[in-house]
Amino acid sequence: MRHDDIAVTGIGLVTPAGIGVDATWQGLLDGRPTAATDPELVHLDTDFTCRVPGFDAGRLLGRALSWRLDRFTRLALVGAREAVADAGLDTDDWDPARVAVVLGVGSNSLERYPQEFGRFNSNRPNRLSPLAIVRSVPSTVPAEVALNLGARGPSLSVATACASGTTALGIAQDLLRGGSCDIVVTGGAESGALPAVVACFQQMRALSRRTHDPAGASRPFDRDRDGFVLGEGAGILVLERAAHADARGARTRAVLAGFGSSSDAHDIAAPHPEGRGATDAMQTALRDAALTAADIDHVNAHGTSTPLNDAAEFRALRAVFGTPPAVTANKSVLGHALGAAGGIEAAATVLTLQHQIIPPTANLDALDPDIDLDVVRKSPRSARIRAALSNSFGFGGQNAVALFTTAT
Amino acid sequence: MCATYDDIVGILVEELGQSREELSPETTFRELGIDSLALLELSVIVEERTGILLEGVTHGSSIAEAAAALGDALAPAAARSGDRPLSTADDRAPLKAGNQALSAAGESGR
Repeated sequence: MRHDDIAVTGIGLVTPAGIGVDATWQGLLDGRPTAATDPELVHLDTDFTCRVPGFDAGRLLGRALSWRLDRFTRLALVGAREAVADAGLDTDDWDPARVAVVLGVGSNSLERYPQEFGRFNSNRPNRLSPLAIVRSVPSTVPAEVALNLGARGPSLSVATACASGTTALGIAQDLLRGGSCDIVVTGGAESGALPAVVACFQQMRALSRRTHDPAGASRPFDRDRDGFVLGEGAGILVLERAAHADARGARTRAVLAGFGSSSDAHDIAAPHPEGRGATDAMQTALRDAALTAADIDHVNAHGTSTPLNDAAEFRALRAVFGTPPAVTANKSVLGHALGAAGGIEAAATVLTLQHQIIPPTANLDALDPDIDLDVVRKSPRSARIRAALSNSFGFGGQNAVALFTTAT
Repeated sequence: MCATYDDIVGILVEELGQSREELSPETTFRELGIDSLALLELSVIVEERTGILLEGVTHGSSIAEAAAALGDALAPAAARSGDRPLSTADDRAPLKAGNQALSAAGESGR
């Protein structure tokens, strides 16, 4: 490891495949789609989502804490607690002023707005909850995590749409390299699998309408893909400078060796058709890690299952690699958790490096004839993986790429 | 205790996640970890259900003191209207059993 390498010492996952790292990793290895018909969406054209099963916040966090938290904060907090425990950290022992929380959150929580704004619109403004703003703004997510962990270093929410979770890793890396903290709890959390959010994305024509086959709806790189499936969750990583991790005898799961970000400056929703910004972000990440394309053995793709994203991502991969390495798309199993996706997929990439196994992309029955990629499908693939990219691209052309290497 | 005590306890348990067995008349809001916004939330729920603005209740107040404040505010208001509980016409809803002072506002979850 280089002196400015950043060690991943802990991860935490709350996803539609289950609560906890083990449940999510097993779900990914099984390649079992989690999309299912959602009773709350019966009146919408797209009536399915990927939801975290059995997420009982009262049991996991206690009712006295959870009552005032919107779902994105609940998800983040459960994930953060797992990640901190996984890192072997004791919040009573660390120097709290040196612990930062940097979380990608793409949007306000829209969970309560229909109810609260209903009161407002029916001329009852003094019946709005005093917590309506506090519980719903993105900054609340890292603020509540910091409050709960007693972390008193920098606390930031990062919003770059669907790239938020990965962008957060880049900010965290900068904070650690700059020396303004010793530990960062980072990643992303989002709870977009809600009727109001589904309705909004449906109007953008971004969602799959494969209502006859929800489990088959998220099919990245497949010829018949027709949009993404909304998911939710939290993917949290504990990062430290390698020297700091070594000094306390921590286990390093993998190394965050590089990061790159860019903007398409092309369109407010559609990606650049040649993946110009995505190409730039991947190349920047390679330079940051002082590696070349030939050193990368795997790409955890953004792979949303929208016609435009997957085509543009393929072109970007071809521009960077010529012949790209083995690719997988976790969204085929988990759906698209928006601002959380980057955190979840970063954690999955860390597990791939640690176990030297690439989980399969579900639902890839017929590769798009215009996409020439080695996509892992049907079953997990064991391979020698020295370094891997985790790609995230937000609408508006905000791109972020994290580069991870094995711990040794 | 009086009906208003049961009402405050009901809100604390059903809306603010408190455990009923940890509540007593002498328990203060501070001891329950009720923060500034949670106290405001409590007062909005009380106002929504009764039309009464709960005044003079602080973190240091006990549940019994809050219940007494609500009872004092309800008494003259009830005398004026000749009816208990108080609720605005658009909020009027069937009363919950054993919850005479506070009526549900016609919306669940708040």
